[in-house]
Amino acid sequence: MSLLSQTARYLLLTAFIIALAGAVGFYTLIHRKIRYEVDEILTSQAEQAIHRLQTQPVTVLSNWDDNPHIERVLAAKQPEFTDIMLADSLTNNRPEPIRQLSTTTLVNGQMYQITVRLPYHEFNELSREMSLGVIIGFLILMALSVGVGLGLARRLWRPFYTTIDQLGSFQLDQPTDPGFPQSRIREFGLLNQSLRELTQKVRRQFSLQKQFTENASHELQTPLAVASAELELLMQSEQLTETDHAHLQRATDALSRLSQMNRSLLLLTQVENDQFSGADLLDLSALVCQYTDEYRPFFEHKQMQFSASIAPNVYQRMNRQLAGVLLTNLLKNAVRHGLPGGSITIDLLSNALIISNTGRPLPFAESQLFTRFVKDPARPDSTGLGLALVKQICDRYSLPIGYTYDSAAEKHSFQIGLR
Amino acid sequence: MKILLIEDEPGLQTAVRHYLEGEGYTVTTAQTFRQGATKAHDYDYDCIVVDLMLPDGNGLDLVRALKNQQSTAGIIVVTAKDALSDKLTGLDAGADDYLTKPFHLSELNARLRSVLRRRLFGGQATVQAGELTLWPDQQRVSVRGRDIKLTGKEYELLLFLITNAERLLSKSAIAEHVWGDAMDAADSHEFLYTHVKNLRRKLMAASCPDYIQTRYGAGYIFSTRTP
Repeated sequence: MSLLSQTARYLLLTAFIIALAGAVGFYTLIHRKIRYEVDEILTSQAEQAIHRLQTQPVTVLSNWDDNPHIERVLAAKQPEFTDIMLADSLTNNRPEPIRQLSTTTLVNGQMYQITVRLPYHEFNELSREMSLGVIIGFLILMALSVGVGLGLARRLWRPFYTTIDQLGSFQLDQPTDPGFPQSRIREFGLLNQSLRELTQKVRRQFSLQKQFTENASHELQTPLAVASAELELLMQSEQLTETDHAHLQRATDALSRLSQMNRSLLLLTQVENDQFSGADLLDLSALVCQYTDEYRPFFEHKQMQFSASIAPNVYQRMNRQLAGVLLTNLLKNAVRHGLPGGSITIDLLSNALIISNTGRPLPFAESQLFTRFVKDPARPDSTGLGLALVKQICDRYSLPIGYTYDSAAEKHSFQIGLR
Repeated sequence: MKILLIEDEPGLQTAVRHYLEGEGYTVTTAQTFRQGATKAHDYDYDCIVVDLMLPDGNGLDLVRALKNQQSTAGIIVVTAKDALSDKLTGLDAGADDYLTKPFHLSELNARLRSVLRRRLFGGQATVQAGELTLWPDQQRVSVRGRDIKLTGKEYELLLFLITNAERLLSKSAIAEHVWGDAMDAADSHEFLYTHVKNLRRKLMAASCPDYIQTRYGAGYIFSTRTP
């Protein structure tokens, strides 16, 4: 959720709670005030009645609807306000709330009780309408201020979002730094300044690392070249026995494995460092055909049943060299670990590439399949880097890669989702 | 045949020089870019083998300079950089071939021969080995005038063996030359064995003497000398 919508959410939520509490509080306040006023009216009416009682006979005092109601009582009592409900004959005998005041007074040695009544109903309605009006006004005000606040915030935060966009499109292997926007707000200015410094630092580190991998490659390959050249010269000697040759062969094999591993590790580092920029729209169908043709002799040599169904016109945007590495590593993996006389199937669909081969179950946990240097202990000649490289390349292009083993058919399969 | 070898690593330089001298080439060596450039400028060579990363310069500049002088020498670049873009830069600069470290000496020899053939004989030359005649530009092989049908890989295998005749070729060197990167996947030795067997069968069916000798545990030797 964005900063703005989060702010808006909290603002609206608080506004709602305030409006709710305000409505109740305001209604109570007005209600009380009105009752107080009604009580004052009743008191003055009662006083008026007492005053008239002293000057006029009782019979003419009460008006025609018996309000005020005057009767003789024996004992005096304190003035008392009560709320009662009385049926109103005018509105179909509906009960209406009525406020009444009863008080006693002594006139000419006679005790009278005076009861004055006032319908409350209209006042209640007034208080309700007033509170409603005030709440609606408040809500409108609140909505306006939230709207204005958000609009302002959006305007103020704009440089921040521009910076984020710039950061998202930041690529290490591009020569130019992203142009972070100038901002009059000090914090954003600071942020952009820090980001500029950070990207420059990262870029410098990156180019150092790139240089390092290249130099390391050179420095490692040269002694390897010396060693293998020397071994090859030694091999030409006439005086060597068969055992000597076997030793030489083993040393040569170890060297070539070392060099292979060195190359794979460098490639892995380079892929991790995103050093393969530039992605062409590759005709994957043609590429898969080309590589499967290249590997066909190897399949045939191991007497593997080979079947391929390759959908035409499957395109994928990726670096050509990496696509080659991806395919050859998967095919190599299938040849290397497939059992002689087993089968290999390659399916290229419009949305997936599936390479499966029959073989024994994995000798290690499935979760370790794509981990570097995890390999079948029975195959010491493998570098254990091939599938790590495959995974790395898939990750670079955000292609989902999956592995399944069908134990009934003893079939390993790798699926790569395409886009 | 005169070869100029520009390589700063003394060990590798010595090994390559020994090997090539054993092949009958006259080899001149240079340790630095400056030495190499001077020699390449002062003398004529049939082929120049140059390392890209030299202590005092980049071999590519030498390649460009030689091309500017319209030198007729073949150029083989040797480097530890194996990225595709590096290879393309090297070839675009005018190099005839490109070899990444580490390489097999026999591989270097085969590439040298191929460059020299193209340079000196316009690709038209035939390669003669005993009773075999090869036309490298046509992938054609014949025994005493009768053509033999070989597959592409068998042809490459035979040419590689002939190029390095009388020398013991390790199985891994052959496998890497003929099948390239794909090879390290398969159980290469067994795979190679099948192919050599097929090649031998085809040659012998055309009544060609058995020139390919097996050194058990080590590799193969192509020899036209009668045992």
